[in-house]
Order: sequence, then structure tokens, then C-alpha cells
Amino acid sequence: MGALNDRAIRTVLADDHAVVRAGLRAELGERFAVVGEADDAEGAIDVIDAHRPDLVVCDLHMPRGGGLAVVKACAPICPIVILTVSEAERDLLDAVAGGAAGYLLKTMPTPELRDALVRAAAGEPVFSPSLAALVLGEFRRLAREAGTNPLTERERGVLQLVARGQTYAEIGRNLAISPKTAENHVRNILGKLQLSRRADLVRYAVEHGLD
Amino acid sequence: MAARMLPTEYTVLRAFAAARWVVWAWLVLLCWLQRDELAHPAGAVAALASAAAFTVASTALLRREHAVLLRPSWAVLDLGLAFGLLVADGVVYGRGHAFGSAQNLAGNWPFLSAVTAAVAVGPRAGALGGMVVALGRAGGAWANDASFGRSELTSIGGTMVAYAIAGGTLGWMAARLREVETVLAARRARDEVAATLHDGVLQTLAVVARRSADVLPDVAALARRTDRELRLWLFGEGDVDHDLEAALRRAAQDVGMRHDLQVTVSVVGGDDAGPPARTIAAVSGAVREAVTNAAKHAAPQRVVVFGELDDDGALFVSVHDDGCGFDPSTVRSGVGITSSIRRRLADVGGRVEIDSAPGRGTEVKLWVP
Repeated sequence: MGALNDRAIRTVLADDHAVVRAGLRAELGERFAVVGEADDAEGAIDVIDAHRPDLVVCDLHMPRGGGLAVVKACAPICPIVILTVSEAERDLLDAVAGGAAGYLLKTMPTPELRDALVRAAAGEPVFSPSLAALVLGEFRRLAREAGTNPLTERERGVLQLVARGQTYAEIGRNLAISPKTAENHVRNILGKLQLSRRADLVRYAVEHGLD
Repeated sequence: MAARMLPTEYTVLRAFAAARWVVWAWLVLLCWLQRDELAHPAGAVAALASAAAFTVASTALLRREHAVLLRPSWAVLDLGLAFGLLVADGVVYGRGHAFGSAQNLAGNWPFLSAVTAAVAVGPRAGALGGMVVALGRAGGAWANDASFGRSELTSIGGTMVAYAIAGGTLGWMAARLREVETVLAARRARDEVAATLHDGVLQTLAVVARRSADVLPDVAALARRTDRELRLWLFGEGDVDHDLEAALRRAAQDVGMRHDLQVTVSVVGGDDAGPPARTIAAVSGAVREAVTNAAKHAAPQRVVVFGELDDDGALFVSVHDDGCGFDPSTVRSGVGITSSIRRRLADVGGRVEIDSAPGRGTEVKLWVP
């Protein structure tokens, strides 16, 4: 985690509900310093550009583009964690494929939320079990369409263990690899998801004659 | 009986009102064509005039006070007029008209009255109304001094049966349509409410649940419970008999609600036909017990239920908790529940494996080939 251990994590909150931002600000605690807030996607992109934070916590549904627009514009700048009330949404997959560091449910207990955000700020992909299941399903769909699964057997195994609610430490123990290796597998899986979604979009564009 | 008129009901009654004009025009034409046989032309004119008045009135009511058209009293008036027209047939035409080859003065009017009453009041009223109205033919024949033999009585009986069937079936169809439309309207309203609540109330509940967790645990529990109930109501739960995901969600929901435990459920695969109903019942029953077991003995923060369906139909389900765990080789805790899970799985040809260690949580794994 390096430098992040010494100082508060400079955080930007983006949510169109003031009550959610206020609640988050209060419960994040002293480990985090909220340096900026926004109530829509364009505002969030401006604030992130101006402050270059360590972490962005962003709602999926916001006016003027939503979390997806923020992810597309700012994922290269800093880790963006999508915070949402519902896990059954396809745009979630788009956000993650677009480069989000992960997503968390708003119903998550505070200590767990704090912990996950610290890990996200340190560059770790924070993957909830249901997101892992969503990604697993997406790769199955891709595999059926293309005939081959872009995931290696090991990656598929790791993803399934995340979906079963195991931590990287548990996965490491189960597969006799280090937790770091398990985490790297998840990172690779995310990379492949981004690539295949992009390929999907390109194929769609070619097939439908768009540029 | 409907208190308010539904859109399709309105459409149907409007179609009947239009049909009424067509039938009335036909009656006028028939009278004109058979004018030589009329014994009392003035009576015929009076009968047609009252039919015209009724048609005008229904059309006007449909535009302004259409609730009146659904009242039983209006249906009785309608059927009464139809009865009257059938009786008038025997009065205005000369002797020998009844049961003859000439057209009846009432034409298709009584039929239309019976089906309108059926749509407005109900299938039983429609059938009964149709039958009673058909008796008007007997009245007409009597006024026409006809003699009633076997074939005459059969003819009237046939009309009664025909009208009763028309009223009964159309009334039944209208009632079914009304049910479907009510359900649809309720669902549409719920979707609208869902969209609003999803973005407002659920957000607020999540904040309340988290911020009060340390200081007011019972408030937090209440917020979580409300959140779950709201979600269940908003998003429904699908077909728990034939949809594995719906069945697992229901099981997790029930146990989670009872023990105030967060249970997440995800299912991968199964885009084609899912597993058979008895497999779903066995597996969801086993999951219900595994989650209950975790809630009672492991004190977990959360439980994750994961299901995966292979393309060849094989099923894997895992119930994983982050609770205290136990040493499976020494502790025989939960033996009863475990054996019941095993029995359920054995019934559908599946097997069970339990992974646990003190301090590491527990995972119950289920396979059905």
C-alpha cells in the first residue's frame, strides 16, 4: 500500500442523493479525507480532474451520464468503486469492463465497506461474490458465442471461488497459490473482460456498419 | 361487478354501441321490406322509435356517464326492451307471422342485449338474461295468435339455449379479460412505484442501516428488514418451482429475514431449460437448512449462496459462511441437519461435501449430476 498507509485516502464521493453522500462521509472515518463531492457524472469528472484523488466512490445511476461515464473518463486517473443498491444490473458489468476497480453494495456493513475501499485505493480489485458470478456468466456467454472460453482453467477456478464468497487468502489456501497470485488472476480476468467487451463492441460496430 | 370501467371494457361496450346502430338500421330496413305484412305500422314505428331512443341514450351515456352502462338496472332495461321488441313482433305483423319464414321485428337486437348484459354484469346474468329474453318469442307468438306445437316449442327452446350460451361465454370472456387487465394495471403501477422507490427509499434505507449499526442495532435491523421486504415486493421472486435462482433466493430470503442475516445469492448458467422441479425443490431445501445451520451455529457476518448450472445439466451449489467454523473430524455439531441435507441430495442422486475449520467459516457444497 506504500504511501497510502501514512496519510488519509483522498476520496471523491459522487452520488445524486445528498443523504447518501452525507452518510458515507460520516462513516468513512479518519482513514479517508473527502476532498470533493459531485451529484452528477459531469460534475464528478470535473472534481476528479481538479483533485486527482486516491479513490472515487461513485453511484451507478446519476444524471448526465451515470457512473459509467465517470468510469470511462477517469478510470486511468484513479481507482473508481461503483456503489449501488442493486446487484442485478447489466450496466454494472459495463462499468467494470470499462475499468472500474469493482463495485460494492450500499447495504454492506460499515467495517466491511471501509476495508474494501482501503483495498481498492491500494489498487486491489474489490470483487463481490455476486459480481464474480456476473462476470463468470458473461464469459460463459462469450464462450458459447465464440466457441472458446478466453479464460484459462485456473482463472475460471479463481473466479468461481470468488463467486462462492472466498477471500484471496482463502483462494490462495485452496489452490495452493499465494493470495497475491489469486488477486493477479482476478486482475487478468478483468483485463480479459475489458478486451472481450471491447471486441464485442467492435464486432457489433462492424456488423451494423457503424464507425 | 367492476366498480370502475377498464379500458378494454370500454372498448367492448363501445363496439356494442356501434353494433346497436347497425342492428337498428337493419331492423328499419327489414320493416320497410316487409311493410306489406304489417298489421299495425304505427306499432312498428313506435317499437323502432323506442329502440332508436335506447341506442341514442347508450351512445350518449358511453360518452358522458359510462358507469351507468355497467349497472344491473341498465342491463334489465336493455333486456326488457329486447323482450318488448320480440312481443311487439307478434302484435305489429299480421296473423301467421310467428314461426313463419319472414324476419322477426327484433332481428339480432335480443342477442346483442344478452351479450351486452353479460359483459356489463357478468356471465351468469348474461346467460340468464339471454334465456329470459328468448321467452319474448313465446310472448310474440302468443300475441300473434300462433298455436304452440312441438316444433314451435323446440324453436323457442333453441333460441333460449343459443342466447344463454352467447351470454354465458361472452360474459365469462369479459370477466377473464377484466382479471387480466386488473393484474396488468397493478403490475404497471408497481413498476412505476418500483422505479421511484429504487432510487429513493432503498438508498435511504441503506444509509439508515449502516449508520445506525453501531449505536442503534435494532433500528439497523429494522431498516435491513424493510429493505428486504421492499425488494421482495418490488422485484418479485419468479417461479420458485421451476427457476433455480428464484428458489434459492426465496430460501435465502426466508432464512435471512428470520435470523437478520445478509445472504447474497447468485446463479450462473441455466439459460436453457433448468433442472427438473424435484431437483430444485431438493436443492433449495438443502440450501435453506445449510443457511439456517450457519445462522444458528456459526455467527457469520454474511452468507454467500452460489449456484452454477453446466450446459449438460449438472448442478453445483455452494453455501459459504464467514462464521466461526468447526473441525469436521472432531465436532459432530449439526449432525441432524447435515444428514437431512444429505438425504435430500441423495433423493435426487446428488452428493454433499462440507468444508470447515475453526476460525475459517464453513462451506457446504452440493452436486447434482
